[in-house]
Amino acid sequence: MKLELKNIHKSFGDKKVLHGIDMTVQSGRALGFLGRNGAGKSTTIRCIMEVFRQDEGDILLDGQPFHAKNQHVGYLPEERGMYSKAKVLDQLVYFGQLRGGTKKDSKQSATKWLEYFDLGEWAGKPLEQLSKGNQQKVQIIQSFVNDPDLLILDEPFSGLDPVNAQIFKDAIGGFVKEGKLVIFSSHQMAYVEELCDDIALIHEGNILLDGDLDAILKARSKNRWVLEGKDNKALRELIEQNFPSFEIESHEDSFIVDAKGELDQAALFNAIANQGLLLEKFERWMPTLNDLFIETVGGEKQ
Amino acid sequence: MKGLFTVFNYELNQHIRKKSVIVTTIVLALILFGITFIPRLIPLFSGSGSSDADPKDISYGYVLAQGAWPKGLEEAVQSLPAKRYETRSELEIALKDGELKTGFYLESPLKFETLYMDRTLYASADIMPGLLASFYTNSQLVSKGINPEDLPSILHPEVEQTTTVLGQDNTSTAFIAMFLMLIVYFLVLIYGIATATMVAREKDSRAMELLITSTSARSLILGKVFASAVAAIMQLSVILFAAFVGYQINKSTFPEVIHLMLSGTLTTNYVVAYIFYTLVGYLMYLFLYAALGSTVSRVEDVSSATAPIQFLFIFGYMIAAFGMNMSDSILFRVASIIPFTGVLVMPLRTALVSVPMTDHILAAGLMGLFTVLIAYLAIRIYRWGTLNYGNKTSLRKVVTEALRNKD
Repeated sequence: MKLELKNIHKSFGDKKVLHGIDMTVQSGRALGFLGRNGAGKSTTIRCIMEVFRQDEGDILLDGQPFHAKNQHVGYLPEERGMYSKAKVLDQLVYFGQLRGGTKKDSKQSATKWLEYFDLGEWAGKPLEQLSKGNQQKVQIIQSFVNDPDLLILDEPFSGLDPVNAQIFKDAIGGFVKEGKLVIFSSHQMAYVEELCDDIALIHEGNILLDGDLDAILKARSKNRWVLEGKDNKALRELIEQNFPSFEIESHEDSFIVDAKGELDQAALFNAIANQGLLLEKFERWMPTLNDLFIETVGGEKQ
Repeated sequence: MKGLFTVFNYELNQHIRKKSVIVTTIVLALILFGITFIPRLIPLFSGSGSSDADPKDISYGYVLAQGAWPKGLEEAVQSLPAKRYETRSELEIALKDGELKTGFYLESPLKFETLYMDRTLYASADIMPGLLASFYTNSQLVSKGINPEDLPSILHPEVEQTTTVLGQDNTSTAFIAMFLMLIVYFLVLIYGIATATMVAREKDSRAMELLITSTSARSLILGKVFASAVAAIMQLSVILFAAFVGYQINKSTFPEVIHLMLSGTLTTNYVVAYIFYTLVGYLMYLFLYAALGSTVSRVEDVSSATAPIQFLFIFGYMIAAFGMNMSDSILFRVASIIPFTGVLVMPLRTALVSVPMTDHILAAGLMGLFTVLIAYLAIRIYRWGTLNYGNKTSLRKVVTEALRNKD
């Protein structure tokens, strides 16, 4: 399956929130949807889920107009909420049925996921009796019930402790392996980096980056290299003398060299060898997703 | 359609499984069932208490003053029964000792004095004037050669009378119709608020976004309103069934007037009108309440949001209540045709007067039309309200925006 957003525009009154969003999500590849608060993530997701209708643009699934209610979608909205007085299993079955499942299948599936998230004993209790963290897990479970083909999760990690986050990540990984189409927005870059094959980065209603995460990171590495020697000080002085155009910045126990173009590795190694210095580490510098995020959307404000 | 049934089933289950609903239903059913036993129980309590007015339970005493007394008067006084004392002081001593409750000092055949030790609230000497008057009348009749036994037929000759009511007989229908109207009144107020609260709570708890992305607004509103309607009918049926069973058990002990009232009110015309206007009007009001519930974001705002509709409904009730005495007035007729008041007024009017078929067609048509329009509006407002959290918006603005909204 391929979900495509083409030139999506959305305004609320005079305020334009989305300025022509283009984005593609493929099944079997999780997409991390990133952006600062108010960037337009939830509005985009709500357009996909038809909570809002976009003013302009198309949302297509395998080339056909996409209607969330006609597909088997698991959705976790940013605004969490279920029935506080109703029993946990009852409402999970209800939401499963509303999304087209039978009562029997929904019950079976809900029970399975409650056990998976270690909430089996709470099945017959009203939601309000659960802790906030457990309520968050119930919210996640409602999106998993009946094995959806598409999973659209808005900030799914918020409110989860590290143990539950790991359980959730494993579940998401399982969905991706099964070839499901998964989109989730998050501020936790480490989770996105770990789980996602693709990212889309939105800023002020525009997609600034979109595509394969590794390829984006590699492209952002430019011609920057990490060097670490037996004697870092001597090594750094050598580079400064012999390659004055290089930009050098410290990086943990090593330093990063920006060659400002193609690096002549032979010239660099010869210079080091001629000085009798020992090189312990030489590798292409790859930014983290966090670096990428701050560099892309944080710089303007700083 | 599947979504509608799913919502309906879930909401109905949530309604009827509420402890408060179960307890209220059982308590009301038991109360009504118990009320039907009252006519059977009344004889058990009557006659057991003491009353000064009952001559058999009262010890009377009397004194005849000096003078000539007509023959037979003393026998008549003794038949109360009463004990004779020779002097007034003897009578007073008997009263003080508690032997007597009431004493009579007869000064002449048409003049007497009543004496009490302590005069209670119910103490009465009414029995003596009647006795003396009757004795006097009979004596006069005999002296004029008339047999006293002929007097009743002379004074009150039997007049044969038959009554034919061509339309509705208000005298027997008003009470039952009013009672049945009160049921509708409470049904709409109680379940209307419950429906508005249910919708507002979904926004309050932020469950609305999940619902609206899972099924259509139409399925949600129709499912909820139909569930509320069926839950109310189920509750009402249990309560009325208990009353019916009680009535069947105690039917023979009910006064004839009750049977007449029931048979006079529950005519086919009235029952059909009552069921139709109640069901459709009730649905119409539930849609209105659901729509108003969608306009607020917090449960505590429900009562202020629904206030205008409460006033409108209570206004309908007032017209119905006052209309009992002016059932053929123009106001009563117009109120029976307007859907918002017709839900209460038209069944009552059907019970009180003969309603022309054209009025029924007009009222039923308008009510049906308004119900469909309000249901449509409720769906639009519910959909509009999905993500409109925050300050309360004026109803006019809500309706305008809901109808314009393309989402």
